[in-house]
Amino acid sequence: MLDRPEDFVGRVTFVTGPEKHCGKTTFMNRAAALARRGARESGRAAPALLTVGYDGEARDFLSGARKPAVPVEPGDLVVTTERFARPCSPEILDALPGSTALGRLCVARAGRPATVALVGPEGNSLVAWAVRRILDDGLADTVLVDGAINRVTQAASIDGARFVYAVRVDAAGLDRSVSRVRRMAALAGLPLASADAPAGGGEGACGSVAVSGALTAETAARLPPSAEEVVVDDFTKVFLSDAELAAFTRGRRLLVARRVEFGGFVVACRGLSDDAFLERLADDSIAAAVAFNPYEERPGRAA
Amino acid sequence: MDTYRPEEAWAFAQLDEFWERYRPLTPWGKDAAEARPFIADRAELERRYDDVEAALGFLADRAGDPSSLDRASYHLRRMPRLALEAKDSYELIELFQIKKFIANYRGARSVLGEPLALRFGMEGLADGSAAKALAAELDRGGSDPETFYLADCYDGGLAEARARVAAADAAIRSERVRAEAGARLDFGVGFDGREFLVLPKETTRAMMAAAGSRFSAEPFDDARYVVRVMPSDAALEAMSDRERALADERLAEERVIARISALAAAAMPELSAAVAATARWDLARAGAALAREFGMTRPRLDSGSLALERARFEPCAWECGRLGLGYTPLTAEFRSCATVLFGSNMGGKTVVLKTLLFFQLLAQAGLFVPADRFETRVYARVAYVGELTGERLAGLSGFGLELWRLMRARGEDDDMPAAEGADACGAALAQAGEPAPSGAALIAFDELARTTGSHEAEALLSAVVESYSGGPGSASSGNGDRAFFATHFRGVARLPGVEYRRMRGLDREAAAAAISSAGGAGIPGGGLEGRLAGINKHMRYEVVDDDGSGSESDALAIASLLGLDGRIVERARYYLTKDGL
Repeated sequence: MLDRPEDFVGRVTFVTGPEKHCGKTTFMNRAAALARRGARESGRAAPALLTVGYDGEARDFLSGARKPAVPVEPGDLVVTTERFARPCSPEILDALPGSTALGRLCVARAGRPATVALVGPEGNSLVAWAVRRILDDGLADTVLVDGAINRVTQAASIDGARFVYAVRVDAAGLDRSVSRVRRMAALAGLPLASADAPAGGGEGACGSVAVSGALTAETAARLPPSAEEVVVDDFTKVFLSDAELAAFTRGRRLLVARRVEFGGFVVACRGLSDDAFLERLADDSIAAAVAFNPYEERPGRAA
Repeated sequence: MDTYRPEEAWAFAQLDEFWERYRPLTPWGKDAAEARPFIADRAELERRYDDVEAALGFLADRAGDPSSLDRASYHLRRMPRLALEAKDSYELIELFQIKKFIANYRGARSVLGEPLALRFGMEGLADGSAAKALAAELDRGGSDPETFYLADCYDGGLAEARARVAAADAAIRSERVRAEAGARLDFGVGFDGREFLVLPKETTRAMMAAAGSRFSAEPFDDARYVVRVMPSDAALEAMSDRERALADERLAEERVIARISALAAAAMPELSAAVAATARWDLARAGAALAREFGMTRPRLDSGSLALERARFEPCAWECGRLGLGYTPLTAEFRSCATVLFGSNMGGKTVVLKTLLFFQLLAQAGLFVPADRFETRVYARVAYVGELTGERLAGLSGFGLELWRLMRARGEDDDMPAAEGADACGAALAQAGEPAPSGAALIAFDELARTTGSHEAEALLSAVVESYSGGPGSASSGNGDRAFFATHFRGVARLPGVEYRRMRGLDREAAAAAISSAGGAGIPGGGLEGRLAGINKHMRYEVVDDDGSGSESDALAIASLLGLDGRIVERARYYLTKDGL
């Protein structure tokens, strides 16, 4: 899974992860290559590549310490500043409202192969604006967004959008990583509340309570004991650890008002084998949603 | 346009929710709407009304051609914000925005037709003008009228440098393909376009031993290596060529940008005028769309009185709709400088004040109003004195806040310059048709002095009413202010030059019948909402003259309808009669 063109072509994929340097951008580059190939074979438009905010790569690029990180091909769409897009000889298709610390952002079509630094809007609403602009105007139907997990909320408002979760695992942090994966699997699988569930902050019939904003250990403790069913806006509003979440859901039913489609985990193991990770995970249903490092060649796992 | 903003009056009149329905589409139109304009220049207001009428005519003409209306909106919606100052060098993105603006400006003109476009000042790009030359130059770059690209055709050096970049790219790609094919053939390793691979230690060692110059390796962990394809000599040469070509390309691009920037700077006056004209059309179209949606009419600004006919205070009408209650539009005319409006709780006197300000503020925003007729004049200020929902003013009691607002409305606060002008109110009335004197204010007082004892409150209220009466004793006579006072206090002084009105109030016969049918237990309906609906049904929201003869308000009847214990209501009536109130 997550290693074929059809896994990405014709859909919006948010590539997320729990922290910096967890492999989001590297995975997005691979996904873009696959999507590019799939789009070419099926006669579709080339993919659009976005990021959220500007990360270490962009800043390092400014200081000259690192090369820009995202290879593009002719026809690809990028959202970045015009100056950062210049290496790919861009045709500017639109300008995003407002500006960033690095300059104004544009939607541009690459005119030639190059590596560019992506700079994205900081606000959730502008990320959604850019994605909608690309989709609604038919500029591309394959979109890859490199973004933090808290940007997933925007994915919920875009039809067919989904997110993947990139995790870097090493031997010392195995338990922590497994815990994160379990927690995310639990969150991604939260059932959708019915349409007549109470709105944010409200209390409905039959012990159903809607939590407006974040569900933390503190807000959870303040919920009335009679609240058998708790509704949050979406899973990104849940700030409970794996253990806290497990304890919470033993006594109550946790639901989401908006469901975000989940594409799977991308796990890059370092200092331990993929099998060791799966063994510690010890959950076949979650394992079915795990893809491993797409840059690794293994016996029996074709590139 | 004045920068004065009647924020409190705006809040009291609940204009925000209605204002959301006013939807200009261009960045400049949106800016203007967000600024919540308050225009005290009658000529400017009349010009805006004329614009709205012209836009209404356009919408009516094209009613049978929805695609034409869609295109009119489409082009406005696509207008980008653009730099309007002359600069030595524009960013590529700014040139793109200029091109996109011109494309949509031309589109908008085309939809409007020449006469209407010219009516709004949307001139065409004249032959020989700087704007036309700029447009022609921008049209050379980009695959679409709304996209921009520094095309090869702009500069011979650009085309030449890009050809060299392309040749280098082809060579680099070819070398990479060859190297990847070699890796697959020699070692069974498929890079498949990937920048690097994570490979087992044994595989990596074999690759490095056999062809170390073709690959680089670094440890990934104790069992694997990160392996990259090293560029060949030919690829390195091509990369160097590419860098040189890119440097030449940058120079050529700067030449092109400088040339187009000079054209753009020269065209800025025309572009600025086009932007201003577009914004004017956008505001007119949005005003016309609003007017059509709510059946709005053009205000008349030449009246000495303030008159409304079937005036719909839409926020209240919406709220009534949400609650399932009926809404009664307001029809009334006020001639004096000061009007006192009596009424019981829930009788609608506050809504009348809100309606007056709502209409005046809409009219002075340059918009039509939701009434069959609205006659007024232009005021320099619109003010509100009373409580606002949810407000807090640290350090001041409720009474202090009221007085502070009162002084501010009268121009006696440090933050507000004293009202200007010297025409007497009476003179202003006599000069119906003339603009209001500079500095004249329309002020709504809702339950002034509600926070103090009734005796002193009536005295204070009487004095303030007198000050707006225009009579010889009035402190503020001569500044042309018009004031409305909604109050419970029946004991306010009856003064010459002041109109006394009241809300017609409860239809007590109908209400009594309702009570009777419910066995004297108030209006049935279960819960407050049902009871409010019952009261609403029997309340007559009309403004009538008040001759001072009435004494009993509807408060006790309403209390009864709301279900208050009948014995308490009866005792209250006893005390009311006993005290001779």
